[in-house]
Amino acid sequence: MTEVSRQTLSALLDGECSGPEMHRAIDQLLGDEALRQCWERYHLIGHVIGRQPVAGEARAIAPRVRATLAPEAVLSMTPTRKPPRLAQFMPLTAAIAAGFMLVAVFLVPVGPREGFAPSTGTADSRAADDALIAGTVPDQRLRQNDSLLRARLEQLVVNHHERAAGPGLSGFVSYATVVGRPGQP
Amino acid sequence: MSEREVDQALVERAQSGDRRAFDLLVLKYQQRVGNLIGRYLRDSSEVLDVTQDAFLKAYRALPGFRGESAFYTWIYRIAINTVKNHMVAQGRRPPGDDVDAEVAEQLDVGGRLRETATPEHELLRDEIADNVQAALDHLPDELRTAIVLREFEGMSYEEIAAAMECPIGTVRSRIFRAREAIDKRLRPLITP
Repeated sequence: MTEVSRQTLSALLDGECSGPEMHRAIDQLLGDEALRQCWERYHLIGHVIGRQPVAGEARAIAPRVRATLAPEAVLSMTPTRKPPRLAQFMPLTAAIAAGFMLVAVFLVPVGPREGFAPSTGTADSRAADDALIAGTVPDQRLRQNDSLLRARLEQLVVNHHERAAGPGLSGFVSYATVVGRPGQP
Repeated sequence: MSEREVDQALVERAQSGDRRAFDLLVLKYQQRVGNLIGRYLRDSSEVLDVTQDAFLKAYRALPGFRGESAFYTWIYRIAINTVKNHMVAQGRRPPGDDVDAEVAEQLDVGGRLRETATPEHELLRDEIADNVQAALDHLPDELRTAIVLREFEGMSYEEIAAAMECPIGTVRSRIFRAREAIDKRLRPLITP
């Protein structure tokens, strides 16, 4: 513990060290037991001059805290951050989105639609559109009379609601993955 | 640069696993937190137990401290909650009127701690106060003024430099020399 290090400590105590100097001073302080004791005494001096009450027995607190913590493993001190507020509502959001998807699946009209505008695409796509309008191509999305499909969708929704109640998006993701799989009835 | 930033730097060291950094925060605030808890409890050994408990709770809660408030404000809240929970657990009714952290520091909050202090502790407290005061009285004027403006008035080095019409570096040096002179008398009393 040199005079220079004690002078830096004095400035550190008053919050009058610049950034890099502050970190150097803290490094020194952490590694020097004599400086650590000096830190305590300087604070004590400040209390007396500042007319703050000083209790001799209060000096026992730091050793007691140190002794209690000594046998404990160092805590995992990664600062915890709360999830963003929006993320807390993700399960609910997912449930609503799934509901809309389900409604969309059942309510999109089948066959020729009023005001249907002919495609301006290629000849192939126009032929496909014509076939769809004529009802010669089965719509892969809609089979409202298919009781197996209805039962399966209902089961998926039940599963989704059960899973969506938990944290994360697992319910919705599973549901969307199964429903969106091409060629799945 | 302020004391709050120094505290925050120590908190970050402690959060990264350096327990010695937390120890420095305990050394810095043990008197203030002990005095605060002394407002609620009469028995000095109980005060020490609850103060220790408050610091342990703070250490374990440190990963959640994000520096949005000053460290002292945070530990102040923990201390108040700890002492109130302690009183409820003891079947005592905690007072409903909390004192703000800033106000608590201005009050003679150590009164109850003193009332039940052991004779040895009372003697030590008086010796500390007497020796600091005697050392202060023997300081050259410029050193005494600098340390009093800092510790009693809470002025920054820049403000002291303006008041004393000298460079900031001189203020820094004067405050250090004042502390050294007082510490010379204090050290034999409290160093084991």
